[in-house]
Amino acid sequence: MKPSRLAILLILVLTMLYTTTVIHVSQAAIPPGFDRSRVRLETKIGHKVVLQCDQIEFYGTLIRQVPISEKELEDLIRQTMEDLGIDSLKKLNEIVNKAEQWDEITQEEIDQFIQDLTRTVKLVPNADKVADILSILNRIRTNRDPTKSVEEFLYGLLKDGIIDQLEKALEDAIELLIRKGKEPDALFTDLMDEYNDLKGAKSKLSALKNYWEYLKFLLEKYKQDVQKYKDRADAAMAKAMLNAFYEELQRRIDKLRNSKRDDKPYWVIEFDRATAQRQNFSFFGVGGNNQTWELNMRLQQTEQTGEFSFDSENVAGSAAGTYEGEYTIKTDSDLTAFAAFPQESVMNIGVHGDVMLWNINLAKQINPQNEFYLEPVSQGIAHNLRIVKGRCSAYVLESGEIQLHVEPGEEAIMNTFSDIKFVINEKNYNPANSEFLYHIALDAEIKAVPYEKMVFVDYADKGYLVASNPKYDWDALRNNLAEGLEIAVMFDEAEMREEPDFYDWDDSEIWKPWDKSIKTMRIVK
Amino acid sequence: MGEEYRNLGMQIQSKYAYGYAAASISSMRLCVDTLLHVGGEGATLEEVVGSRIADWDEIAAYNYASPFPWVFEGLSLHAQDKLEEAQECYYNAALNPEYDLENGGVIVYVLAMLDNDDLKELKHKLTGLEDQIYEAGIAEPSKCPRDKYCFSDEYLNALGQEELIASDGDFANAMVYFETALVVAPFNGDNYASCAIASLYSGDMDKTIFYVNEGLWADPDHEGLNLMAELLNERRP
Repeated sequence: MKPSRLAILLILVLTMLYTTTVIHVSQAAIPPGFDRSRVRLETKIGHKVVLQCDQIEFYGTLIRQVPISEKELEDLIRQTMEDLGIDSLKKLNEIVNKAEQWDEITQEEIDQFIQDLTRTVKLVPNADKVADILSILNRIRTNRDPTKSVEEFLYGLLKDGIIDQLEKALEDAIELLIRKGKEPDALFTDLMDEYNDLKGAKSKLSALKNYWEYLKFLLEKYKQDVQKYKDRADAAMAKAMLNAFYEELQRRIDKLRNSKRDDKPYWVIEFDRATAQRQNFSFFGVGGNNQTWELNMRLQQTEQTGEFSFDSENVAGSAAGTYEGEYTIKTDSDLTAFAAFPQESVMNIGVHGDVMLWNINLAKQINPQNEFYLEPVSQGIAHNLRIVKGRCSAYVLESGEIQLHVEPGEEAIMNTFSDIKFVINEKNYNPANSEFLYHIALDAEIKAVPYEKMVFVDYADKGYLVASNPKYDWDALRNNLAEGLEIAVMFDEAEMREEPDFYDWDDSEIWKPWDKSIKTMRIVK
Repeated sequence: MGEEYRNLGMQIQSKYAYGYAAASISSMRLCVDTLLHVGGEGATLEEVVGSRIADWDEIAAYNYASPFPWVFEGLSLHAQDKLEEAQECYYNAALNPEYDLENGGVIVYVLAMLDNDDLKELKHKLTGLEDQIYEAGIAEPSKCPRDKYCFSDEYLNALGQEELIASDGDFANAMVYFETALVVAPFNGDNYASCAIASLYSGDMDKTIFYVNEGLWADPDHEGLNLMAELLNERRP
């Protein structure tokens, strides 16, 4: 049955309506796949501003901005795409990046993702966390030899197997050369010549015109790799196209901004990943620690209050007034010095050190000849990352002075402590004749709660006998040590048998410049 | 080559190529310095070397894929009549499949026949190349200690896994081995996969995504990385 004229007309009208709607919607929005982070909508050129907190300084800028509307941006994007012959930014992105970026990620989301990944690779989690990690790792490493079982990885047999393979590959290669009637390089297969004979072995050089040509020949090895990335020509082209697009778009944005300099300007104070170093601060009583600070702060003018202006031809208008914004301050602390001296650090961990000292003094009163000392076992690692995010405001006076107010903000902590191990030693002597009796010891380690400002001391369950005077029978002492007794002189015995006590972080120095110092901001002309 | 990779936005491959050049050229330069010293130049080797890198392990760490640090260290020992140690170095070089088993020793003979004037001329050219390589600021030495099997990415991955077991699942030290494996073999998707998983467990999602994308750039059909990319897009908050 033929469709009626009315039906055809209806379809036509609907089609037109739909098409119009689609065009209207697409024209009203920024094209999909556009990455705002790759263009700068504001100028970066302005006056230098310095924020000083105690001994650290951050440098930022006070910049006069001219707003660019969404519509103006959209027109620029579309025109640039058309001029460069780009149909879809989204498609180009898909060729270049298979996985899209995640924004504002929480640790919970990462943990959830790990759980999802575990399920996706069909792994049933078990109690052994490391075994699970290795299993995931090896299920994602899909190029690896599938004949190698996960157990090989788990039980550390893999390395030896690989070494055997590498050694065998060399033997096979030598054998192959010999079968082909060729001689393998004499340098490692036969007894080598003395250096003087080596210098005279010019016959080997007949094929070489000069050493420089030979060096170039060696570096030609790179050409083997060319084919590997040529296979990625499409992706390379897409990446280059995207780079060209964003470069050209930036040029057009700058041009537009310069053409409308008097259009409702406003001022911004910005610290864009401004960094500062701080050295030699103390943590739990041990100096020599270092840190890097990174400040991101943006304060936008909300009200203009005066006619203050700069003697510069590229800015105009008033910067004086009130500003509001947000900041993120990241502190990356390298606590290597603290980790290198656990024997000192542990004495400053809360009441723990006080108890230890008290115990030592008491024991010394009983027998002053006895020795009590701590010694480090290895160079451990201690690292802390703190991120604080919050709001801030500023008031720029007409004189150019800046009054800054920073709210405390939300804090996130990440600690990485490992191998901060030490040994508690106790040497006993006969008080009557100073004869050495025995030396006992206990292993311990300073640890941190990963996401909290807390540390604790993790003691081994039992002490051990390091040395003893062979004249006497020490079985009773050994038995006591085996039961976790006898070594309680220098520490709180309760900690050895139960869950450790958690102690507050030493925050007296570590973040002092930001948390406890007066912050001053000024314009540096 | 490193520059070509860099222009294509292939930063990991660029690091590989610059690192390979750094290890190869600097080791040859240190060998030339040693031969000059053996030939009577300078009161000490340090005096001949000057401010340039004088440590074989440090040079090799720029990229363990290059067999040349072992070759030139071997020749340096050879020139000092330390034949046993030299032979061990030559053997270590030969373990690396990139070493030319049939003709690899020729370069040793080439350098051995040069007199001090030739060696000085060669050093001049090599230091010029060294400057170009290091000025680019891309090559950097690995923190993974040198041994004769470090040219193998599989071996480095195995060391990384051992480190993971030893540290009870802490990726901080294992990451050094995984990243070195990536510099040694930047076209094998498995090495990106290790780094992506290590970054994930270290709580760095940006780096995870970076390694997945760079891995799929280098090895587009890699199953594990494609699976991760799919899941990342699916679960993106």
